[in-house]
This record gives sequence, C-alpha cells and structure tokens, in this order.
Amino acid sequence: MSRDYPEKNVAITGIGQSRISRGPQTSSALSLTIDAVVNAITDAGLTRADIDGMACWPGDRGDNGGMGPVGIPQLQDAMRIHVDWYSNCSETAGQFGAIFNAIGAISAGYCRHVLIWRIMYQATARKAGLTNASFQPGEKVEGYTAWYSPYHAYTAAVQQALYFARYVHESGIREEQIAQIAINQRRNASLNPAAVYRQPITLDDYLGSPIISSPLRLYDCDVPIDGATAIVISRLDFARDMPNPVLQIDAVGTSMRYRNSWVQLDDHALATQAQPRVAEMMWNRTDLKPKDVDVAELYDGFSFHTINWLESFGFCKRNEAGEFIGDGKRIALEGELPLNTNGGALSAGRMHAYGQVHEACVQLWGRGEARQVPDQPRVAALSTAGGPLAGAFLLVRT
Amino acid sequence: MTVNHKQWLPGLKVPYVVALVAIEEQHDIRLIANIQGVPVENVFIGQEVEVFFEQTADVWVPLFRPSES
Repeated sequence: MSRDYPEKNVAITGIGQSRISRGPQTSSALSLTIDAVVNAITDAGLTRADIDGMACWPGDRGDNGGMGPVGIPQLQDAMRIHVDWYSNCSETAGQFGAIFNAIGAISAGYCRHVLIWRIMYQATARKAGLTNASFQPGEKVEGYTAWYSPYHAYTAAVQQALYFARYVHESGIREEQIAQIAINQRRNASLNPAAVYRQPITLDDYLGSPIISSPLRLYDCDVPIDGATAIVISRLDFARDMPNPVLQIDAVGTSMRYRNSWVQLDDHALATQAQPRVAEMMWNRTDLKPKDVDVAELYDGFSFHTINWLESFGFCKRNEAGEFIGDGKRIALEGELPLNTNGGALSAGRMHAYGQVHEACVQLWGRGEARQVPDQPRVAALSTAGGPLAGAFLLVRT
Repeated sequence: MTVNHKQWLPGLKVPYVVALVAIEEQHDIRLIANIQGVPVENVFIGQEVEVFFEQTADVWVPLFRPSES
C-alpha cells in the first residue's frame, strides 16, 4: 500500500466549539463562530498569526436561513487573520469538502495551518420564521425545487424518507433495531454537558413518537441548533511539535462515481445512495480495515444515514445493519463499535458532521470524561452527508 | 415511497404519499410525485400507477393513481 497519499501528511491539531443551543439568542452567528475558532486556535497552541489558511462549508449563503450565515470574508475581517490560501466550496464531497480542500492546499504548499469551521444558526432562524419562507402555496418555484414543491416534498425529511423506505423494504430492518440509533445517542448525550437533549429515551418513547414521513420518526431526525465548531489542521511535521497528540488523517473518500441527484439515482443506489463508493475509495487508500476502527462518528442527519454508513464502511454486510445494531449493546460506549459518542446530531445538535469531527478528536485525545470510550481509542471513522453527497475519512492517533 | 404526516405549511392536508415513479418506457427516469385517489395505507412499493394531470393556472402538474387495469 502506498504511503504517499497527501492526507497522511496532515493532522488535526486543535478543536473548538461555541455554546450550542436551541436558541433563540442574542449572540450573533459571527460571534458564535469567533468563539469556536478562538477555542480551536488556542487548543492547537497557536495564535491568529500562525493561521495561514481558512476554509469552510458552505460559506455565506446570504439567505437568512441559518444554514450558512458566516462566510470567510466576514470572519477574516472580524479576526484580521492574514492567510495565503482560503476556500469555501459547497459543491463538493459533502460538508467535509472544506477539510478535503485544505488537505490539498497544505499538500500543495500554500499553507501550513488551516482554520476550518462550520456555523449553524438554524434554531434562531426558524424561530424568526425565516426558513421555509420560500415555499408559499400558489407561488411558482424556479430551479430544482420546482420538481419537489408541487408535491410537498421540499424538505430533506421527505426526500430522504423515500430512500429510507426503500432500504426498509429491501433489508427488512425492524423498528426496534432502527430505534437503537436514537436511544444509544441520547444515552451518550446524557453524559455530554454540551449536548442539547440529555434526557434518556426508551424504546417505548421512540415507538410512541410521531411519524414525520415514514419510516422517519421524530427521534430519527437531527436537531437544528445555533452553534459553531472549528478545527485546525496542520502539516504533519508541524503537528509533531504542537501540544496535542498527533491525529493523522489516514485516508479520505471524496468520490462522485454515481449520478449526483436527489431523484435520478442509479437502480442499485435507491437504498444506499452515495455512501458505498465513497467508503470504497477511502479503504483503498489505507492499510487499515473496518475491524481496526475503535470509534465511529458517522453522519446522522437522519438515523438511517448512520445505518447506511455502518454498512457502507463495511462494519457489517449490506442489509444486515439491523442485526448488527441489535439491542444496541454493540454500538454503546462500552461496546465493540462505540457510535456517535457525543450524542450525534440527533441529540447534540445538527453540525453537519463537524460535531462528529470534534468528538472523534475528543475521544482520540482521551478528553471524553464521563463518555470516554475505554482503552484509549486509536482509530476513528468519520463520515458526512447523505443522498447524493458523501464524504469520509479515517483519523488515527499515531 | 413515503407517507408524510408532518404538516410543513399551514393548511397542508396530511397524510399524503410521495413516491418515486419509474416510467414504463424508460425505467431509469423517475418522477417524484404524489399518489392520490386511494387511502395512503393502500399504496405500496412496486405498485403500478397511471398519470393524471391537475391544472393550476398555466401549469399542469402530473400526479399518479393506482392503475385501473
């Protein structure tokens, strides 16, 4: 196996988060972003002057919806960070595209320490009634949403539920198995002071919760929040002289070897979406195997994405995640494959898998306190996105 | 297909079915659409459906219902 893939020459060296909450609040999105990035830079043992690259996803969307409220220019101006390279890019391998681009920039020699962040301001935006405002009955809709709006299929929940229903149909996964994703993550969140929902839930709670769009129940859906997560990634030779133990990026999956559409997916992808090919690329770039993974921090915009990633990463065979999850013991903190150990987006808040990145570092650095996975985990598997988007990487404490 | 229960907009009637409909003439082209004219619990994956159109102003929206044949 070749050892010269450029991601192996890059490490995560610092992490930071703002307060994460259900809003509404008085702190601006920019203020939350600054909280997170200052924490990350400090955690890396650096100052603003050391940061010479910046990247984020998706940048400033300018739509008041809270999905992308702060772009690079605003943060750069507020923090007066002088960089040699910067990039935001929303048409990429899911939300990790910012990380993948930064790996490329470091490898190309543009920069050494890249500050990356994800800011969400959806809780406040929703309470202000700003989202879904683009879907008014009787109004004509342009663009790709014109294909969805007449059918009231404008939300991600409905669009994704179509495919999850197909997965249930093909796999025969049972509700009580699906439920363990939400139940396990809420248990983990109860041990995480920063999580937004910390009250444990039972199987009865899950089965009694409202169906949003079958097979999705309320507890299968992640939680819109206000908050920011930031990380610093650095060239490996610098990382070795920095305060935190080196967390090397071992392999990435960034491919698009499928039809990139929310509707026109290939036949075989109706139940799997984009994830399998992306995971395949990742495993082709490493000597590590699924059995080497100590902790899995897998995207959970909906619990079914996590189920899909379990199969796509090869932790179990296709259509056998239900059996793999079983009663939830295997994916618990003390289990064979601890899963979404901070509560994930379902209970700790929707951070588009940047919560997962933060948590992987927490676990690999042994900072998990009450939720720390035993026996000092060394290898974390990470993934983001669903539908036609997907990105993945492996993070290793060397 | 999915049965949506959540009222996303004021006045929206629920539950309703959203489905991916494969076209007989070209299987790999799919329309996202509602299945109407039948109780939601009677809609299932693999069901044969036929198109009908609902006019709103100058737009004719394709919808589907279970085939008669």
